[in-house]
Amino acid sequence: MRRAVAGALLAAAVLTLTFVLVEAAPGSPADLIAGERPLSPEVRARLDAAYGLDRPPLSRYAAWLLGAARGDLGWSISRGRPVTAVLSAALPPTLLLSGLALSIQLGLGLALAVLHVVRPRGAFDHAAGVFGLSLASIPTFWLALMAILALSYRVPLFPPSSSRSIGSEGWPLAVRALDALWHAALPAAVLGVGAAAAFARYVRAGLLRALGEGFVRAARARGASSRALVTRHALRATLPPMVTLAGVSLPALVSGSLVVEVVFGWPGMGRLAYDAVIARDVPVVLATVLVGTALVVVGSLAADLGLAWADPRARGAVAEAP
Amino acid sequence: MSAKAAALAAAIAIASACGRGEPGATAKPAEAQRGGTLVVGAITDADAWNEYVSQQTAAVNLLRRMYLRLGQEQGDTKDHPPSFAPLLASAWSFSPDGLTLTFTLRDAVWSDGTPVRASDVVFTWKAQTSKEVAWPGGSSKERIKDVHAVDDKSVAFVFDRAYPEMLADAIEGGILPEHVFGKVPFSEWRAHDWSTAGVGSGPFLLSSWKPGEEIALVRNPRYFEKDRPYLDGIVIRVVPDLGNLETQLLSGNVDLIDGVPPADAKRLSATPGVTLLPYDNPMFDYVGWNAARPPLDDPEVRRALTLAIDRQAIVDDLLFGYGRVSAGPLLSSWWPADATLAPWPYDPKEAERILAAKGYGPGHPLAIEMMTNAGNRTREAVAVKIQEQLAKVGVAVTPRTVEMRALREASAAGKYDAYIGGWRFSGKLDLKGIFGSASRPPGGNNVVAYASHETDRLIDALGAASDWRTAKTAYAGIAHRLHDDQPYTFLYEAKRLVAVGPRAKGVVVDVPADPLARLESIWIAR
Repeated sequence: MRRAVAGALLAAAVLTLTFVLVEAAPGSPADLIAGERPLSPEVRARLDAAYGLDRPPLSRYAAWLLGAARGDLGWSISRGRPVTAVLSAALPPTLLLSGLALSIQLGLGLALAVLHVVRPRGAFDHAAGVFGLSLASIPTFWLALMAILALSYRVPLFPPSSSRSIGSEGWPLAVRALDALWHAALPAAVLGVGAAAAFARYVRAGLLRALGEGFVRAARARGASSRALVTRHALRATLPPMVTLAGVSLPALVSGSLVVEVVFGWPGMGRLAYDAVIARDVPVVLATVLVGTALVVVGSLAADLGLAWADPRARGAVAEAP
Repeated sequence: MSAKAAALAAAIAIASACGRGEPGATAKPAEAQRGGTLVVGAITDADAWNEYVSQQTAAVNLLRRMYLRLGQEQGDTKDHPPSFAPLLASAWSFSPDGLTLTFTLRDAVWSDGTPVRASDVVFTWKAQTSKEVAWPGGSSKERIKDVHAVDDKSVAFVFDRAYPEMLADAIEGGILPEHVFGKVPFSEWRAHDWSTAGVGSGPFLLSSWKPGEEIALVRNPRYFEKDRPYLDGIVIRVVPDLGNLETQLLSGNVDLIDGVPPADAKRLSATPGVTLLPYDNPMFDYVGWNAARPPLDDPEVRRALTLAIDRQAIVDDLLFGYGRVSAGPLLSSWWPADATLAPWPYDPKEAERILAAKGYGPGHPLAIEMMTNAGNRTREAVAVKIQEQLAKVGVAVTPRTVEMRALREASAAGKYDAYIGGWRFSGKLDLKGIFGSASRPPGGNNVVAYASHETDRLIDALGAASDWRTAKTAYAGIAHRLHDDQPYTFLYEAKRLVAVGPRAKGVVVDVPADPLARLESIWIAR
């Protein structure tokens, strides 16, 4: 209950701050409509009135909050649809892309870290370290463009854009699911591989620390193999921070990745939020912030619960947490 | 010749330019094949599926193929106002007094089988002029007093006076089906999801819309022209990254891209099978000098600045030759342009002499901050180029890039020295709004605060012109005045480029501002 109240207060504060910032920024949606056409002041005034922008900001904000409390997040001027429809269209592609990217990040990162530790300071450890650092250093947009050039153009293995094939509406569900995975593979790999490199170093550090702990040394004294030491003992000890990391990754998972979504034409939440800010589409901006804030709260709660599951010592602390 | 007679003569001249009969689409090529789907790459998505609510040019270009106008504008705007080929109307004529224009509708049906009626045209005019709908193009209907159905297939437009663009103004805007759009009150049009409307009159209908990703159009089986369109459908793939789209064009995943940057033109056109089609874009870019800030209030200083800017070098180096130096606000491809008016030459010595006479030189340099909108790479580069060029005559330019709306707000408030901007035409240019002294801030679009009684008088004379030849003379007077006063340095008219892949055939771009005007004549080679 205390968490719910704290979450609601956090959401209210973030939303209000967002609204104030968007309102303080210069321009209005009428500017977007005008573009570089000379619109008369009368037409601008009519457009403002048509979208209710002639009302005081406080009144508009209060109306949006009241609507949001009833489940009505308002109207998107820039997308010509209710905000709930806009959100529900952008969320599934983002979840697919981010989920896949996170799987690659965790799976590949873990594998790299384990290989690092099993053969420390060996050729593989050095090569993987250099490779990982290089991947983490490459700007995402460049990696994305190179991936398209190499794997969509030179060797056309993956589609270069979009979340589905043209005309896929009539396909059986299973085929559509495979088609979606095929389309998500390249952008998810670009997102996940870069993050895996950083994640691998994080896990590697945890594993090395755990390998120096007494319980691991005791296992080694009992004759456990190097592989068993890492996979059965040290890895388990690094689980709590990994669970915390996964929990706090939840908001990022849903807020999407702007760069990858732009380059791959992926219709997700990152582009939605960015386009809404550019278009001064306040209801969409507020709705994306609301979703993000809710996920921060849910993510931190999930992380705490996960931590309690992974580390019995943390259970009391979680129970006492506000 | 009386005003009425002149109007009549003008009307007859324009009407006879198109005549009655069949649409002005390109003739059917012998080898044209039916079927297939054209894939178009676009960097922006549509925003609304109603022309009177949509704010995006790309969406309106598609909507024009779904909701037909009464006539199709032709690309012959160089010597006279555009002529129109019959489209939803099969013929039209002016009354003897030249004030009533009557259209006869062709025997067409909406895609749901309902006949297209005169009442649909009347309903559309009500929507176009509704304050609640607030259509930005509503100014084209200002001189139309009434639109009424003469019978089920004839509709009359009554004007308050004769003027050159009567036909164009009457035709502007797609006709909507009243039995579908009339179900939604005008007050709710801007908060209604029109993607489900589904009923149109054009060659294509909206099949599906995945916002931010894909628009699918399908052939309208009830389109009045039986052998068109050739295509079964069109898919517009929305990818904000132009580099990705160009790669898809090269790999054959995309057939057509509108708005290719000139910098990429050479690379794309060198690829076998890829064709580049440059077309006139109804737009010019300019440097606006803030006349409220001395010495920029002095026309001679502004002229000196224009003389010191090598605009041909800008066209050659930054537009890669796809454009031409502007002589004024009247586009060279547009009938009001005065062919005898040449742009000011590049003459840095004369510029230096004028500035020295005004007290500016090495010891007392003129310092100007020049703003432009972030994200427009051409303008950002132009600002740097101008900085280099003006430095040669002792003018210190500081380029400053700001977000588009911040620029608009700064310019509207007069908080700037100079800015690089552009104006896009929509049928005609509102010269009064841009250069009239009554349109100076606050509120108006004359943000450079230019004021000239002579220009005001000439603009008023243009407003009173009843035929296009008189209007052309008035336009020439304004152009010469602005040429002398240089409230702007008119930079260039940039061409826009369409890139076409090897599958798409029959692509013709001959109507300014409407690259998809001949969409129904495109076919896919298989």
